[in-house]
Amino acid sequence: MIDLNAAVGRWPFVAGWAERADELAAAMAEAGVTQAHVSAAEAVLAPDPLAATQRVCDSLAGHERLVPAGVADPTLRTAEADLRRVVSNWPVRLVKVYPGFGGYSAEDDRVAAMVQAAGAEGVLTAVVMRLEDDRNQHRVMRVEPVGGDAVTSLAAKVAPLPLLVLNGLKGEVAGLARRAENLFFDIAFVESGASLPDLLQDVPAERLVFGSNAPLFYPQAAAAKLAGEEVGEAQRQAIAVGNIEGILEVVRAPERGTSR
Amino acid sequence: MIIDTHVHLDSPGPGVDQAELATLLRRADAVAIERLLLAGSVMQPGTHPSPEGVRAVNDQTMAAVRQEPDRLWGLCYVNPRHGQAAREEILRCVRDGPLCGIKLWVAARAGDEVVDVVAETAVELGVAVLQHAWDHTPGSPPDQSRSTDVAELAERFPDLPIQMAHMNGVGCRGLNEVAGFANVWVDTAGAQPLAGTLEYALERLGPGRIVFGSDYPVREFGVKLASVRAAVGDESVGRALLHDNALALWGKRGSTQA
Repeated sequence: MIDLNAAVGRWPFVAGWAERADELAAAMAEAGVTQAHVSAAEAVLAPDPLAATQRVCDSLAGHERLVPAGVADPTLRTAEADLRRVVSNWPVRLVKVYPGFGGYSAEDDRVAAMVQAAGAEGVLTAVVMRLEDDRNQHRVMRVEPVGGDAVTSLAAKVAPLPLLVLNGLKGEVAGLARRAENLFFDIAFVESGASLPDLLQDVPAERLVFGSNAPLFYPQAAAAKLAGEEVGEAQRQAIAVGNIEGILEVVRAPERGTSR
Repeated sequence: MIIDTHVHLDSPGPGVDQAELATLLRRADAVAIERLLLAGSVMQPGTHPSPEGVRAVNDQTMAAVRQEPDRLWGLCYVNPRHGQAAREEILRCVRDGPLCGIKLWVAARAGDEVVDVVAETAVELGVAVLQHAWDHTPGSPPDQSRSTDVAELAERFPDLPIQMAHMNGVGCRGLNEVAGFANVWVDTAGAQPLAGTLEYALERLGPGRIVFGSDYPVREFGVKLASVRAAVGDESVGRALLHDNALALWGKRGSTQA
């Protein structure tokens, strides 16, 4: 299983769990995740996410299961240069943007430019809709989830480049899937009595990828959504691995940076 | 054996939707949950249900329990604002019927004195209350109980066993609110599979006051079970959460009545 929605480090608004790379790697192994694309939790709130991303990239050395992922703030003048710097030094295939936490809209032209620049580097961009249950946020530090209209607008600007949407609720995922064909979605926030079978009634399996939102959520819980007889084996394989490999192939650049 | 202490039917009463019940039991079977505590189809009659609405919920729960006594326990849902009528409904369903406790949702805050008649009846019958709770919800129902309300109820009625719902809904601060009240248990239901809260609850309340609850069909059995197993390494603690505590809290009445 490949997890496209993971982070390492401290998120200050929750009790905290598996914050260190070794703890996260152990949890991923227990969940059956063979490869997790891991960004820096602290980069979400950092004034410049580059330094935090660099620290994460360094801290993952020795954990073969954990692959570094970037975090970008497209409104920074240096954003694209910083991304190229990260990509040239580490085997990053995924960069996340957090419009809600950055105070900008996903339909800001700078976000589309960032997605295009990332694509040129062979990097997939993910728009993170939220990090916590909207009802559970800190009493005075609340961040609105990213709006569906803005994501649809962004998807249109960057098409046919694929764009990943992380932490969407079931209704959001179903609505966005109908509105833009180049959008793909993880399953971390999708839940009902039969999470995936219910979602698959509205969204085809080829638009879904595995994502856990670890360490805020247990990766074992996301893995449990793929288990059970109500999910077909072909769908399970597609969501767990196949779709992710396909999407990354679309944005693959001819030459990659050196890994370390 | 696993006992899930927080499960709902979702179809309108008073009859049981047989397809819904069959699906519920099949999905429970798939993850080895043998016993389910039905808290009623509480969303059907709205947040402040009429006496008729309440009766339809309870007639449905009682029919389901009578149909599947080896798999189901059930709770009597009441609106505390009905006063003596709420007491009469509890007597009908618990003293004279097959239900093993009381469910309170968002018709009145647990800390409100209108709840006293329900609490007194529960103590009289020797049964527990499953109290919905959630903290800090923007736009939440005005009478939704917070952990502070549950603490007030627990303080006023120290002989009343209370299962405070939604550990992840009240969070660490909410767990703090009730930690000092030995008559309050918390269930694992609520929100996404947020990591760390159960570990915190184990530290604050100890393993004897936590019960497994999924909140199916809003949530998925397997997802909640995987979360609990990820959080709890110790086998005996796991057994306490998944079975023993629920049996102690609900089982005596459930087994004799069902």
